[in-house]
Amino acid sequence: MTTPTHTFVCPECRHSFEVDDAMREALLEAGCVVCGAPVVDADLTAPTVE
Amino acid sequence: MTTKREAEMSASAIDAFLARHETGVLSLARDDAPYAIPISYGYDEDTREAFLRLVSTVDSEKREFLGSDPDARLVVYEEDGEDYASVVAVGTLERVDPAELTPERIAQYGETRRPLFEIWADGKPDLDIQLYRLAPDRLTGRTVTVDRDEGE
Repeated sequence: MTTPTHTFVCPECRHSFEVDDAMREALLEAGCVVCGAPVVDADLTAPTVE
Repeated sequence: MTTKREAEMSASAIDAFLARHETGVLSLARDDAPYAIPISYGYDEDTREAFLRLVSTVDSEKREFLGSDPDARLVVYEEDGEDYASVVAVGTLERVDPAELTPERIAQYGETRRPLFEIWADGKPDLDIQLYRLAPDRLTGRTVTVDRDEGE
């Protein structure tokens, strides 16, 4: 994985892990890798810059 | 009932068969104790690997058998009139760490149906869903056509 750009939190199973852009696209296409739930943009949050 | 015709499946026929189906029976063993469960899977014809999501609880029998990378067999079969077909995949069942996922792996699990046979009564956050990969050391398949009327 290249540098993580987002944190994924599954809306159904609550599994969470960091992803890069390619993984983000894959999750939006394929759904949660753990439970299969559909994934939308809102489930992937970019880190907050302080 | 007698066998009219019997044949080994080609590698491409095995791949197509496994890709067409989505459920099978996973068999594990520990010492002399067998353990077999119906499971859902996804199959990648390019890498010839099966991908599974398995749900278990801390005290479950399944968890005991899953242990650390157990030897496993996946059996997928179908029956259509007088025609039977089955594929057996033999290999090691490896746990996949979500922290080591790749876009390709996410896509492969996207082909895997949710565990149809699992109990989802509990809320998902309470379930321990683990990812597994079966890269078979041996993949065999056979088709059999029987004559049901023979001998009656």
